[in-house]
Amino acid sequence: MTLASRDLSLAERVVITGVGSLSPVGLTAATSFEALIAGHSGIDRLEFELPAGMRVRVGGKVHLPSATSESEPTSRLARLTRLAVREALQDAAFMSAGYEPERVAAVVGVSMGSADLLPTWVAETPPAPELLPRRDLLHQLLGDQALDLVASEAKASGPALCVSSACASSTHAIGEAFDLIRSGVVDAAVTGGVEAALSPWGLAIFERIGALSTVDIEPSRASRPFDRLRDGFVMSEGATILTLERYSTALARGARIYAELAGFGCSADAFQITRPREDAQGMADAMRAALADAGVDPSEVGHVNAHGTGTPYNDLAETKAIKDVFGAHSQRLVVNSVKSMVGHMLGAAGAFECMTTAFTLRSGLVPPTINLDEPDEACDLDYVPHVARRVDLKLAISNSFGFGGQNGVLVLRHSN
Amino acid sequence: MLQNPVAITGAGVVSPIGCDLDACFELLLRGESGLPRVAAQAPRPRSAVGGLALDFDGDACVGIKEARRTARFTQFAVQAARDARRMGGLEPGVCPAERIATVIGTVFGGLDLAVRSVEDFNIGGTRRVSPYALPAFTNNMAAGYVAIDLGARGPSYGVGAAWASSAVAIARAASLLLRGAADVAFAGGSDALDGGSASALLGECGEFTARHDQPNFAYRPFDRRATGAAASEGAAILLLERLDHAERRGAEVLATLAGAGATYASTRNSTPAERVSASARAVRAALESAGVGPEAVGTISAYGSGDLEADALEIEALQTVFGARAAEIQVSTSKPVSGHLLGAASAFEAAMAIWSLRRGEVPPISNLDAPAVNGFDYVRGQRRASAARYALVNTFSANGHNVALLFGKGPVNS
Repeated sequence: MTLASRDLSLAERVVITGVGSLSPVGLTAATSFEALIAGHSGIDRLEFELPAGMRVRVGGKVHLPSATSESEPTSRLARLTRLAVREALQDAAFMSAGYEPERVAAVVGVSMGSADLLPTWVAETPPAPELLPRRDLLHQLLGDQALDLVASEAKASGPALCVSSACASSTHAIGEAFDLIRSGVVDAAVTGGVEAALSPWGLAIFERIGALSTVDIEPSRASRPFDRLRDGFVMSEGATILTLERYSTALARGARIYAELAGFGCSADAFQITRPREDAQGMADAMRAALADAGVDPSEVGHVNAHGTGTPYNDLAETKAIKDVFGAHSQRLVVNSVKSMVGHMLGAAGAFECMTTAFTLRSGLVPPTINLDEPDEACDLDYVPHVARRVDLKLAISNSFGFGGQNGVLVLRHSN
Repeated sequence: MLQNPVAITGAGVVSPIGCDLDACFELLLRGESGLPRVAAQAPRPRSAVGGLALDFDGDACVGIKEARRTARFTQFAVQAARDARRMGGLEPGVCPAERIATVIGTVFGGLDLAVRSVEDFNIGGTRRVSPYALPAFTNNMAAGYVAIDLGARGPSYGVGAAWASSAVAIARAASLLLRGAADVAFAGGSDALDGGSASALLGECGEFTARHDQPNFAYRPFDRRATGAAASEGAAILLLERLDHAERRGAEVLATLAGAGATYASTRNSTPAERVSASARAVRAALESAGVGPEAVGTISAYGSGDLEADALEIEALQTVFGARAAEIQVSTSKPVSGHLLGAASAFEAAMAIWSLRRGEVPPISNLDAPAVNGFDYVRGQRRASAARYALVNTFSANGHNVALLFGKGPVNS
């Protein structure tokens, strides 16, 4: 139904022109990527006092400096969002690009809302009657505030929405923004994902479903995607915002182009809430849909930025899905999981990984999957173990597979 | 936002005025409000007035075991989606599973379950927390559960745009269909109020009435004595498909989604004039995407916030678009009767507008004794006959979101 993206006019093609990011390994996009290439882990012992019985010990925290002024937002989610969007807008020189506000969309992936504030609010039951009503509390708690910050900073007055698909939220968000531009509704978008759920309660609800790594091990070694000894993901927090523009506009205004967004595909497992289909067909369907949307053959893809959470189920299923989609070519792919270094940022993961994939295409440097000491025997692809690698790449995909079986895959192309 | 019309071939609702669309529309035509008080159950002061979906039986819908493990907003969505599927004749096998999409908006998700898990954690640590808490409460789970229930393996995700969530979901689902990512889509919204957390937050946000003494009369959109909105819970799901797909499989086209427009003007830093302009632009974008002018619109399902200032800004925005024609356009809204269904509100209003187009009748606006601002033909007191070919369904200034959906009368008159 759609033309292969390379056959579209430059006005109909979409590129990434700016990035802002905060992660456990850096407070800017560039520093995070440098850390990834160096194989540094941002996983540390948790600082919280955890109740007896909790087994999780590690997490990936953003080393946010203390708030310096009263004008800073009070929720962690909001602070991360504001810093990321400002960095992205500056990186792209977006505000001087001359966009009409109604031709700019804002689309943000959030999975848990302001999970850091929910326990605080619950503890207030009942609030003192003399407290003034707080008009914005609802939107702050539910995560809308992040969208408002992004739209306000970018002066975006076109369509705006939050997207949630659990761990795939920001991949779906970027995909929606991509679609809004190429379908002609807007000319540019500010998009990405944010998450700040690293709190005792936030960790407890994931530990309770058996999703987290709880083995007693040095923190930097706990996140072990595709490794035989993996036992779950390491939860982290972060925010990544990207600016998307038409290829023709970006060229005309001399914007830096990180990579082209060539395709987006999604699917649902429609199976179980916390486990992927064992036949991995949902994941495979999403990859195929993305490749078809981009109009590329699987054999043209060089790199897969895997969802790679480090849970026993995901890594097995994802490997199977990659082999199903790519056949013999899967052995020639370079596959990695940056979650081995930054952990799983939940709703913010997809955007961080889209950024990493774009930087990989542009620089030719593929971050490693660290802690891959002994791959699971069913995980037999080239996961770039331990050390970053220089690879000439034209096309890459970034996978995100969320709880609830909601899968999203982006295809990125080197922009030369 | 659309290049071509998309067909609506099914619809399903869960609401305080019932779970049967024909019956809901009848109540609307008769102007009978059905808002039992919800405030009495709320644990916090200043909680909102509103309606509960008392007809809804979660045990019957998803089974006793699943009802204990899932959030009510997902159960509502499952029932409404099943009804939409049945109405659209989309039995299993009619459409390949991977071509069925689910895009469902919500505001609160399973907030009560999340709150309960916080309380459980505070009392007894991790072991006390239900293992079903997290999988149940996140905002993607209405779409996620509907996908599982229907075996829908196409694109699936949740949408958040405050009270415009379901309108945005419908517009995005239509876009998805038009680019060929799926052949049919279940789109709409769902929100539940039972545990009190949502009501407490609504009571604090300033848009919802605290007139607990008069629940049926407190919500008075466009009236001089407006006191705020009354919150309700429920779900509304539409079954959408490309027109050619509907025609090929012989499905009855209930209405078409001819156009959609969406804009954003932050309530935190926009002037009233900017808000009016953004609302008007959403309407113009919907008309442009449908390829029609303002003269095509016969009826408007207004947002009807029930707040004096917001209502006035809505009328001003509509007057900007419709100008001198305004006096000829019939304006109605279902919200005083059903309550404001939050993340499902726009889709519920859309379902009522579709029924209105099919039946050629426009319901009155309940509780509208004395309009605060004139200019439009408010339908008051009694139902009215209508020859409208296009109905506009608006969600304005929903925490900054403005979404306009333009529905066209279906080719077959039922």
